[in-house]
Order: sequence, then structure tokens, then C-alpha cells
Amino acid sequence: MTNQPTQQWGSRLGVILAVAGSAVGLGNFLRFPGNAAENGGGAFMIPYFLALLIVGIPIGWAEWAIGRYGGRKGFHSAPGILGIWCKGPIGRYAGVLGVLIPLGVYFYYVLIESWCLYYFWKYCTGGIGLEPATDVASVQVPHTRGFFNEVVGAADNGALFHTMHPVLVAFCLTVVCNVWFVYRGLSKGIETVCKYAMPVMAVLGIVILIRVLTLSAPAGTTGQTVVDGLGYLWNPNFEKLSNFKTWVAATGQIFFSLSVGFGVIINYASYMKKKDDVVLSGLTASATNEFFEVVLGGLITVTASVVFVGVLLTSQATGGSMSLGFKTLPMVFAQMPGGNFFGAAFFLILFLAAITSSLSMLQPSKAFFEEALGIDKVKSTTLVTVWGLIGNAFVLYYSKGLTALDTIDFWVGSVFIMVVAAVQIIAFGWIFGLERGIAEAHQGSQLRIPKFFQFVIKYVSPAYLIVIMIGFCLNNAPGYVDTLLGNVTTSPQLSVVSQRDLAAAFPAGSKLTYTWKQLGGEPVTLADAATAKPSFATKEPANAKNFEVPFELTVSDGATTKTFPAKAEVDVESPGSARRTWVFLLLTIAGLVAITAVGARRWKAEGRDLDGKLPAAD
Amino acid sequence: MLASLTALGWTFMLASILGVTTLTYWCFKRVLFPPHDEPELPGGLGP
Repeated sequence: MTNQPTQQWGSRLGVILAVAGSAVGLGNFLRFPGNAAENGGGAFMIPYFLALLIVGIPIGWAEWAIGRYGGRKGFHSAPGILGIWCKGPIGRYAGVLGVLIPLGVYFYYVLIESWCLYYFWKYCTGGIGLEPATDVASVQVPHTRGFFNEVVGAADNGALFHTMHPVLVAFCLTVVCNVWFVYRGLSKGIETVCKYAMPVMAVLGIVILIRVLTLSAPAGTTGQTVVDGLGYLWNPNFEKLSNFKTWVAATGQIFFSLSVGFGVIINYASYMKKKDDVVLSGLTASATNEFFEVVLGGLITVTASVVFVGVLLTSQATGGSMSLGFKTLPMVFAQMPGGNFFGAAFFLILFLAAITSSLSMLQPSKAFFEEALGIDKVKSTTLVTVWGLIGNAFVLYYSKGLTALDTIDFWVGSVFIMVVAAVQIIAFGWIFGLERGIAEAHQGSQLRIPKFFQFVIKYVSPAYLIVIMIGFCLNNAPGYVDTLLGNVTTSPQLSVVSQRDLAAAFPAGSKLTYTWKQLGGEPVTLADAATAKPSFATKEPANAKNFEVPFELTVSDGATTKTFPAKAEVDVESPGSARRTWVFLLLTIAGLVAITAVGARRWKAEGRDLDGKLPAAD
Repeated sequence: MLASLTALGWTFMLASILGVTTLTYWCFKRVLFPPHDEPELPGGLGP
């Protein structure tokens, strides 16, 4: 066993803010409002709060209790702790995912964090070059998207290095910040950052919220008011509740937002003392995350976007969090009086939200390396920094179309999280035993877990989680698997200007017919050709480069007929990028498995409780 | 033109915001100012 002093949290509030800081991230401000608007508005809150009650809070409680008990056994990493709770090597090796997830997400998350820092800097020094009162669709949209694509290097692999883009400076600063605070340790590093960053985020968020709720759009723009913007997000559409995808989206939002199954709570809780409360602390961290998500996330971004750039551009951005934040909101700040100040404040919030999350991603790996390899904090910090930098460099270099980022985000940041959460809740309720688990959670607790939740933890949470996990994979995985297999599905798209003209030409609710005509390139066969969104499949050709296929769309409502140009951008390079990313991930997993095996031998030789058969030490 | 916030929209929005804010306030109040006469709950796995 290493002879290092055991780390501990400085205060109870500190650990709560650290866990809440880990959970509050970009998704709270950008993903939640988009998800809600797309999936039924106010009605989305029904499955959303249900998922909070039967998945988010119960699994969170289990994770806090699992972590604290593991800490009493001298373990701070998911492989060590889950080995005890699952009583054997299966849990130990499933726990490798609990190290892979935070480390893998860190590979790309720190890049997004550096984009926030770069945008913050740009707004502090005059903005991103957008002029107000220019035509949004034909001038601001191309400029904003072009600026974003340059920042992320979407045009080509290695684009950021070829141009030595200044975002690389922001990236270096972000990495240095992360490594420094993680090196300083739990109390002096992570806890201190979160104790300052969380209140600053809340205050800045409330300032921006007040500004947004008192907005009025300049004459000649969208004509929408704040109340219209709120209506776009909150008016309930109950029909959406009959769609299984809405329930999957709501549960996914709760799940990814609270960071349960992420491998962080289990690590953070392992540094708590036996008599430290976990039930009220877990509930408080979840509630804090919900405050940032529902109150600040639910009122700021989409509302401002609808007021200044209209429903069309807002609805286009609701699919992905990055679009809303980096491609749409800059247009809002360009139109808004004092836009540079509010732009800087907003991206500072995003940066703080991101750094409190990314710090939590390094700590589990650092703890894992220390206890598995028996190394000190200098060596473990060096190892996690180098490993992280290799991952960052991979995602930075393979930036074309953001395929590497997207692949890791889906498999590691979505699917694997659900697997770890399922392992944890089954270990808590079934393998370790519900009564023992609840008794452990109640140790030193200021709040008793109600009987209702005990039933939920045992039966409802695992069943609901498994159903949603299957639904999530059925909805999303086929596209990713298809890409890995070299099948590329593409839809022709209208430009934003054409979309605006189409919306203006036909009243909402008109019964329209769509006719697509290919204007050039190798002939393709369109599926769903008579709809607004047809698609065609392309098999990945060897050594091919991405190409475009021109189309023409004719729309008619019987009385009026209009024709619009369209094009399909066929990304035949994405399968190669996705496969390369998977090779990288598999190498990472192999490395972590090998270290776990080394650790297991060490722990056995030291006479430590590997499989939960020895009593816990106080 | 976009539909403005309806009565049901107001209801869902206010209920969500008030519910979450109240829960957060209650939790922080219990954390920062715990009741003095609160007995320790039984439980724990022991040594």
C-alpha cells in the first residue's frame, strides 16, 4: 500500500459543490432547453421529473453510499470499489469503465472547454466580428458557422495545427488549469475551485436571466417577444408523450446531466468519513444541478434565441448543444444591446461550468493510478496528464467533421455511462443486498431514504434503466454502427436562406408535396423521396474524399409551386475516422484493464479486501 | 407567427421552476443549518 496521506474533503458544503460542479456543465444551459423544446415543451417535464425521481436521485444515492463504503475499505477507484460491491473480478473489471468514462470524456470535453475560453476572450476583446442589423440568414449564419468551423478545425484533419489557430493557446491554458488544480488535490484544488465557481456561475446566470426576461427585439427583426420565446419552450404538446423517443430523451437528459454512472460520484464519495451524511448531500447536489438546468437553462438560451433570430434558426440548433451555444447565440449577442458584455458573461459561465466538470474527470484516473500502481501524486498527475494529452491530441488532430469527438461522446459519454449505472444499481440492490445498502447509506445520514425509494431502487430503477438503455441504443446506435461498417446515409439540405423563403411562401400547417430532382454527380436512389427529408445511402469507397451532390426541391400546396436549390454533403471519410477512434478507445481500455490486473495483484499481496469478504474498517 | 405562452405553458413553467427552487432551498437550508435536536439515524454496517 502507498504511504501517502489519505485525502479528505475540507467541508461538507465543499463536497456537495464539487459533485454539483461536476454535474453542472454545458448540457444544463444548452442541451436541456433544446431537448425540451424538441420533445413536447412543458409536457417534456412529466417524463423528465419522473426520471429524476426513479432513476436520477435513487442511483445517485446508491453511488454515494457505494463510494463512501469503498473508501472505508481503502479504495478510491471504481475497479477497487465495484470489486467489493460485486464480490469479485467481474465487478472489478466492469469498474474499468468507471475510469474510462471520465478519462475518455476528458479527451474531448477539455477541447469544448477551450472553445468557451476562446469565445470568452473574443467577446472581451470586441466580439467575433458580427455586425448587428445585417441580414441574419444570408450574412450572420454563414459568418457564425464559418467562425465556429475554424475554431474547431472542422474543415480537415489537422486543420488547427496547419493554421496554428489561436484556440490552441486557449487549449493549453485550459489544460494547465485542469492539471494544476487536480495536482493540488481534493480540498485545495477541486473543492476550492467549485466553492468559488459555483456561486459566481449562479450570480452571472441570474444577471443574464434578468437581462433576457427584459429583452425586446429591435424593430425589423423577428417580431417575437420574450413571452413568445417562453411559449416556444414551455407550451406543452401532450401528443409527444405517446412517442417512446420523448421518454428516452427525458431520461437521457436527467441521466447525463446528473453524472450518475460517470465514475465521479463514486470516487468523490470515497473520500468521505464514515459518519458523513450521503443522503442529504446527494439530494442537495442533484437539486443544485436541477436549479441550474431548469431555472437558468430553461429560461435563458432558447428564449433569447427566439426573440433575436427567430424560431427557424432556434429549432435548427436544438438538436445539439454545441449548435445552440456556438452557432446561434453569437447572433443573439450581435443583435443585443451590450451584446459583447453579455456574450463574455455567458461564455464565462460555460467555461466555469465546464472546468468544474473536467476537473472531476481527471481525479478518478489519478486515484486509480495511485492505488493500482502504488505511485505518488506527482507521478499519478504526470501519468494522467500525459494520457489526457494523448487523447486531446487525437481528438484535436482528427477534427474533420468532429467525427472523433462525436464517436467518443456517443459510446463513452452515453452508452457506457448507462452500463456503469446499471452495474451500480444492481450491485447495490441485489448483490450487496438492499437492506445492507440502505443501512450503509443511512450511516450518519441527516435524512432517511423513504420506503418508497427503497422499492424503487430494488425494482423500478434497474428495470426502467434497462428499458431506456435498450430504447436509447435502438434509437441512436444503428447510425453509429452503420458508420463503422462504412455505410454513409446523407440527406439533402436547403440553405438557411431557402428554408426561410420556404417558410415564408407557405402558411404554417399547409399540406405540401415535395419533389426532389438530382442535378449532377453519380445517380443516387432517394428513400422517402416524397417527404421533406429524404436520404440516400453511400457505401464508403476506398481512399475517397467527401463530395457534394446538387439537388433541386419543388414544393407545392396545390395553388403555389416554388423551387429551391439544395445539396447533400456526403461524408465518406467519417467511417475511417470512426474506426480510427475505436482503435484508440480499445487501446485505452486495454491499458486500463492491464493496470487493473496489476492493481489486483498488488492488493492481494498487501492482504487487502479484494472481493468484499472482509469487514469494513472504521 | 409563434403561439405565445399559454395558460398551460405558464403552469408547467412556474410549477417546474418553483418546485426545483424550493427543493434546492430546502436542501441547502438543511445542510447549512441542521436542526440541533435531530437524532442520528440508526444504520451502518459496523466494523
